[in-house]
Amino acid sequence: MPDWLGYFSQEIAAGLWVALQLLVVSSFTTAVWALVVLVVRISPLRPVQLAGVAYIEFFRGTPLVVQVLAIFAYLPSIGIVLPPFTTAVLAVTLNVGSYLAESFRAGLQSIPAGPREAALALGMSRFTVFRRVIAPVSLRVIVPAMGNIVMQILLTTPFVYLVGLQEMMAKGALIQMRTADFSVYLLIIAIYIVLGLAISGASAWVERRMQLP
Amino acid sequence: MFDSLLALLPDQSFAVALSTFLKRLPPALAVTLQITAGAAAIALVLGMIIALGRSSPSRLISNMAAWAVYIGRCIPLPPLQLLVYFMILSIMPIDAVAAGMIAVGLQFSPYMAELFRSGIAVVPFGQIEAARAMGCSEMLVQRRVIIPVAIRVMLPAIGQLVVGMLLNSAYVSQIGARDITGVARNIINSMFTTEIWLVVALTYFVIAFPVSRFLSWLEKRLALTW
Repeated sequence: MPDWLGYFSQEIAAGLWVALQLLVVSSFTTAVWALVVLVVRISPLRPVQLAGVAYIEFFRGTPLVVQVLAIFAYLPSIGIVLPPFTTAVLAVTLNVGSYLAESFRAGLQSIPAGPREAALALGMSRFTVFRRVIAPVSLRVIVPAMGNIVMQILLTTPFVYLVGLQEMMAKGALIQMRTADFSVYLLIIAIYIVLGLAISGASAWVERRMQLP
Repeated sequence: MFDSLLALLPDQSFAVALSTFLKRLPPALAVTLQITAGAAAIALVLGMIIALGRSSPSRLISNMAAWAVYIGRCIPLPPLQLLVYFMILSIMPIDAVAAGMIAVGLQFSPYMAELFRSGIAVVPFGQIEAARAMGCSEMLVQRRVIIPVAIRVMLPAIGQLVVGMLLNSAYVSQIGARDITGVARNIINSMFTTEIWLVVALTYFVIAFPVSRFLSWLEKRLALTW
């Protein structure tokens, strides 16, 4: 039996703490960034719209590993030196933001035009229509999408040790180098399973709570 | 011809790196496609087994298959890849490409299983019952009623998953595979030309984007309209 408890208390716990911070911070930045991209993507101005499409398609059509390594290598070469955590947040946000912006857009499109038109016809102001008709429905589309996205961010975070962030994978590699014991990766997988089941359980609970009666 | 064009570039270190990358690209592309194809085969088989397990009448088997999906979807590629590689290496010699196929295939099999399940679920039960009532054998029901409909729904989605596997195969460079990313990392480490990353990204993009676009078109084309 490998010394998992020892691995955990010595190094993996510290890596887990960094990974959790990254998960929370980049969930927020990704949500905000995706809203910005959504606004750009559905802009009535054609060039602006195309810029949004180009960004979304490029980041969805290239490997995460390449994006992470490219951001890591490119920023210092143009004189921008960021701490590893910031670089990691940037890489995760740019990557997952492109997926989230598309799922926001799909959510918006799935809302039928009828209720909005009816509300406008009743003489509600545009703001009231948004607050009373569009937002309540959109939220029920967006919140489950957010659950999936937090899950996707969780699966993205173990890649960012490539930019030198000392999260679990980096710690695992150190332990493997010291002890030649690769089972440390099994420990890391077990931790990710616990985190993932917790996230999907929580998002299923929120989704149930928000269901329309 | 191409080399003389490269000689015109103002940044010669970039030109050298670019021509090295382009020379090594064909075999590297072959490795990337090989990993993708192997992973796709593994994910298809495993996904099918899990999906069949989920529709099993035995409570135990269907629950086990369901948990395999819930748990499998929480496992990120990096630790899985390294675990698979070093675990097999401790028993027998294996090259990075084969280990990459197994890891990427394992990672995508829960998604594949969910696809199969949802594909079978779109066939209205009435049609299956009608076929049975007319005396079709189970085999014939599968072949003539379920699969033709399910395949229409599943095919584009399976394609999108394969594109996902292509993009994820880039991580196999971490254990030393000489795929597109692996070759690029070697060049960039020895020549310090970070701009090559853009070329690498574009290489993946020109494969992934048209395929993914075609699949979206196919999805609309094959969509059921009943």
